[in-house]
Amino acid sequence: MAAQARAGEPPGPEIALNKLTLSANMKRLAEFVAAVLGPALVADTGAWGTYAWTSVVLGAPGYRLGGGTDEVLKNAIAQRVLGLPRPA
Amino acid sequence: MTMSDTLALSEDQRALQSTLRGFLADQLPPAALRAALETQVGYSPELHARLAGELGLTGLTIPEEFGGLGMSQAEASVVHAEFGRALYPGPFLATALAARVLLAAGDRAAQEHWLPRLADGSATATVAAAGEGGHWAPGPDSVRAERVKRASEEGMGRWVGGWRLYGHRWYVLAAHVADIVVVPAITESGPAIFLVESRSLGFTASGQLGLDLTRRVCVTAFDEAPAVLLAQGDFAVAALGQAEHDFLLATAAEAVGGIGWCLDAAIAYAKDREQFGQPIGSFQAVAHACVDMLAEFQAVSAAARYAAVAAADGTDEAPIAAHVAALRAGEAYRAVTESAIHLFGGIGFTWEHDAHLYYRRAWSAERLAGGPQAHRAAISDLAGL
Repeated sequence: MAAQARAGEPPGPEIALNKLTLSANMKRLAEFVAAVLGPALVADTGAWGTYAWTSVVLGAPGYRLGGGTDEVLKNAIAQRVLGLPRPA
Repeated sequence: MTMSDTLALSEDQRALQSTLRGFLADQLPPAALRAALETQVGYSPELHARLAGELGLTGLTIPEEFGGLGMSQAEASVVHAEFGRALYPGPFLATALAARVLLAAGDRAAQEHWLPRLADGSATATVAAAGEGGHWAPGPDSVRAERVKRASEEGMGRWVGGWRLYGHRWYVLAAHVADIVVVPAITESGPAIFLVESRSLGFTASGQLGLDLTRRVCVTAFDEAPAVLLAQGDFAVAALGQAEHDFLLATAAEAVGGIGWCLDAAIAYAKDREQFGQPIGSFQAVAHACVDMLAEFQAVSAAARYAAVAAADGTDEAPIAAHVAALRAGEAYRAVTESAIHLFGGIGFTWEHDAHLYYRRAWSAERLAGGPQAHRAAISDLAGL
């Protein structure tokens, strides 16, 4: 994909893999900050850089929806990148 | 009767479940819940009084000699599950935990004065046990207790009268409306448990901005707050430990209720909402997600019920079962609420959708109950690994 971009070619349907990875990473990031911050993530103690991370927790589900859900993107990749048959 | 015989709900427990579910569906529909959240206290005191008076729920696990119904954690878990399903925002759990410490601590005068008031709902209470890191165990930031030294009739310098507390506790449920606060503190001779009246000079509760809109938590400050000693030493540690395990059981039961709501709402939507000319539930991706939610519901229901019955029977495995239930419930509740938001798609991702209230509760409850790392460590210790 990087070589394509450098060659000035428009991205193909495989670009959707990037968005699937981003969505999954946002979810992992939310889990990670929860493990690091503990309850300071869910109730503000006034400490800098703790409760503000709730925006990641609250935003994570949206990444899997906006711009095509995971399922819609996976269908597109299956059919247009892998060449799998469409459902009957 | 072996434990497996008691895992299914009894006839009385099923009746309690259906009565409470019907009552809350009628009295606390989503619009009423949201209206209550907007009020200063964050719940409806009128509804709370009816749950206490008409249904006797605030006295559920308080012994009959103190005006309660004398039931066990097995019944309590049924009630917590229904409150979790409705995201009931009143000070029920906080008061139940404080009553548990009062009972276990064994100070007769405090029990006789406060338990009947907690049972009939005329007073509310909470436990202020967590440090800033969320743990209940004593640490460097524990509240300190000192005896008041003043002249007595017997002579100068003799210890008389009460105690004073110094320090802070975090994430205290419903402290903004509690009449009494039960708080572990460290004395010169070791751990102890105290009771503080919230109207006392030297006590303040400040609301914390929180992820969970349906359960308020506070930072409590003790600045020379007058306190009554309830228990000391191993007895105090044991009493607090019992309340902490009850907290885990309640959190797991509430998750069962919340997961059940998500499952029912998602299935109804998957049958109703049409896309590409057919109900979305006919698509495998949607159907499989619904089945995964059902599997989580069954697994967490079983773990929570097993732990509640073990606690009610006082079996040796009760503590480990409580941690297992809390661990499974925390992971599953987060996964299921996230899945529900996903299934609701565009409408699920509006902040107005009820699924978000459950998502917020799931993330918050898991952390306030100690978090998965703490449960894994506790299970490892209890299993002798």
